[in-house]
Amino acid sequence: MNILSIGVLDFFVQEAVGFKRLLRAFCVNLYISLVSVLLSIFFGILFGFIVSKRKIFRIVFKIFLEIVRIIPIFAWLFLFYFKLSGKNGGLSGTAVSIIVFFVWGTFEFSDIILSSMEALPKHQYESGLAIGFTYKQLYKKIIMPQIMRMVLPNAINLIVRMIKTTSIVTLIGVIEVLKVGQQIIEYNVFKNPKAPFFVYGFIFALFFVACQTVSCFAKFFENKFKI
Amino acid sequence: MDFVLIMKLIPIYKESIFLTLKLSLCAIMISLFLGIVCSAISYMKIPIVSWIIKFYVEISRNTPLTIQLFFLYFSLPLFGVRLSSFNCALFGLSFLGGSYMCEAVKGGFDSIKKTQIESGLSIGLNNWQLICHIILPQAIVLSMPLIAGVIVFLIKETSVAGIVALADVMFVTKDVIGMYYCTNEALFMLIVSYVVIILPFVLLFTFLKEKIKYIDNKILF
Amino acid sequence: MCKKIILEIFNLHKSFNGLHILKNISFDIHKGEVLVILGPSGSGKSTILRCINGFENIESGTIKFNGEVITTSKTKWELVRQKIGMVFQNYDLFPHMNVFENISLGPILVQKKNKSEVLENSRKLLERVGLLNRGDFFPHQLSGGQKQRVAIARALIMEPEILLFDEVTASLDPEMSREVLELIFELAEKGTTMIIVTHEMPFAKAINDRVLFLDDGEILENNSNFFNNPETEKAKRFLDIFEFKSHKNEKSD
Repeated sequence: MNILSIGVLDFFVQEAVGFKRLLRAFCVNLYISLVSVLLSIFFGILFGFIVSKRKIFRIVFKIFLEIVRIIPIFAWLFLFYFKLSGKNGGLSGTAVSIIVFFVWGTFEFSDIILSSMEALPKHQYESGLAIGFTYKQLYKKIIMPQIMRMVLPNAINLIVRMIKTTSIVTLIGVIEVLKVGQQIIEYNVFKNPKAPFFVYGFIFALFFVACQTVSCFAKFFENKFKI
Repeated sequence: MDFVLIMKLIPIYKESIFLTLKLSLCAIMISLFLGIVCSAISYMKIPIVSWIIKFYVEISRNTPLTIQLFFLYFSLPLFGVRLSSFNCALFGLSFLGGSYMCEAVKGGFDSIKKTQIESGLSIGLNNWQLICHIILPQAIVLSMPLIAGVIVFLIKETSVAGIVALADVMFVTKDVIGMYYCTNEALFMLIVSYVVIILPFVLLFTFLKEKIKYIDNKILF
Repeated sequence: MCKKIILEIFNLHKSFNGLHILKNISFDIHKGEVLVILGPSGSGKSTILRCINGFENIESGTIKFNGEVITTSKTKWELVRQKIGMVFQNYDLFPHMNVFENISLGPILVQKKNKSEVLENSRKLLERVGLLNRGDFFPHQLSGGQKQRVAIARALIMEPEILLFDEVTASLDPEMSREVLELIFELAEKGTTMIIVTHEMPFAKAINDRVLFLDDGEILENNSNFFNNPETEKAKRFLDIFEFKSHKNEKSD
């Protein structure tokens, strides 16, 4: 442990710049997550409501959903990257990532909305209509509040998963935190052989803090929604 | 699409599919064991160990597998431990899988009715007997759908194992594209491989879920 | 004729979330006695049973079983519960075990009895409750009344000194209730000591040796002739709830 602690101090003093670089690179991850999440939420909710209208939409949707789910995200990234990017120019790795995450996120969010709507007992709809509500009033006053309570935990779960999955985009060449980490290690590995431990440890902590923060927000919102 | 080339690629992909399956199945079994033990310990609220388990679950659920693997693969040699690619990937996957399984089985524990516990206590069972004979069997059955989800999740996560130089489907695809410049064919094989690996599990679990749901209403009232 | 006192309760108090649920409950039970606890909903009837069996903590008071205090923090409830049997409203059989296994679990695991001996006793008990040919069935294959009878058998096989029944027919329809109540009646005639919480008035009237009438957590009456001669106003009003003074068709005649 003694050797480790000297290593930490050494590292901090010499490579504070390194940590700053890592933080800046982590922003790329966060940027990809944020854009994808916002787009996915918007289109996911839209899609979810549209699909819930007809049974045939639902069946087609479920088929596409399973297709999206069976292939791992990494494979999708590969697929889109080689088709849309590569040596022929085209989109950057970051753009490809956002597209893939957006498609994945939209399907998953739509599924969350759909499942919540299916889980809501039918008599909630019927009771509201029986009082004379229009569809708009029904959704606004009765359906949405109840669905939101079911949607929220799953939505937060998905957002955390999306943040974690951005770590994979390094494998299609995006310069984000893992890539920068690797660069730092390569540069330092002779001066400081313990480099991998600290660098990856730091990145580990970054992801942990980001995900925990989102989860904490979730708990805060959950308490707000509790009736 | 060059079908002759695809025929040439099949044996390579076959190897990688087997490797992926081997890795998945080993990881699933270790995770399941780990998950059940951790969940049972959390449920019994054993003092210090429960806290350690909570900490473990939070850490592994909030960090990506990629970074866990890098951390293991590059840091362990510094402490004198040298793991093969397969073992490293297995360790990482099991570490992640264990916490997910723990949460899945915990879902099962939570859905057992309190009155079952009182029933067991009323005939004089002590806590240990209660857990072994009444709670655990029911918890595992109740958590089957969640466990199924974790299994599919783990199989898909093996796609990342290529970063520790394991010759799984993704790694092989990258290689093949690099060697033969046959992007279309390789990507085609990639999709086919994952469909072949995962689709049977998805179909099996959907079938089982329907069957259990039918029994569910009768058995678990 | 002085029968032995099995259970004594002194000054029991229980609160929950600031609500004072049981107020100064005191009574005792003799061997072979059938005590029926009646009262409006929320008066604490089930809570008393649950306190006796250690499923609820008490704020103050003592419960003595066979002369021994069982409300200490050191009480080994597994041992006490072997002698105090309880049957619940929702029967709660173990769904992953068949009827035989449900019944024999207690004697085998807890009393460490010989397996073949236990199976033989289970068979006799099942015959007694009228379910001999259902031994290999699983709970989900039984009707509500059958499940409740298995639950009673499961409690009986432990050979308890006292049986607690907590609204055991509340989830059953009239036909199934009947078969369960008849079984309980048989047990009473054989001299089993029981405390029964129920809303079935005709049954309560037929089976009781004594009635404890509870209201708002307090014992208002401890009467061995409750139905014919209720002492308090509240008890009289309570018994009236179950009577309809006029008949609908009388008015139109």
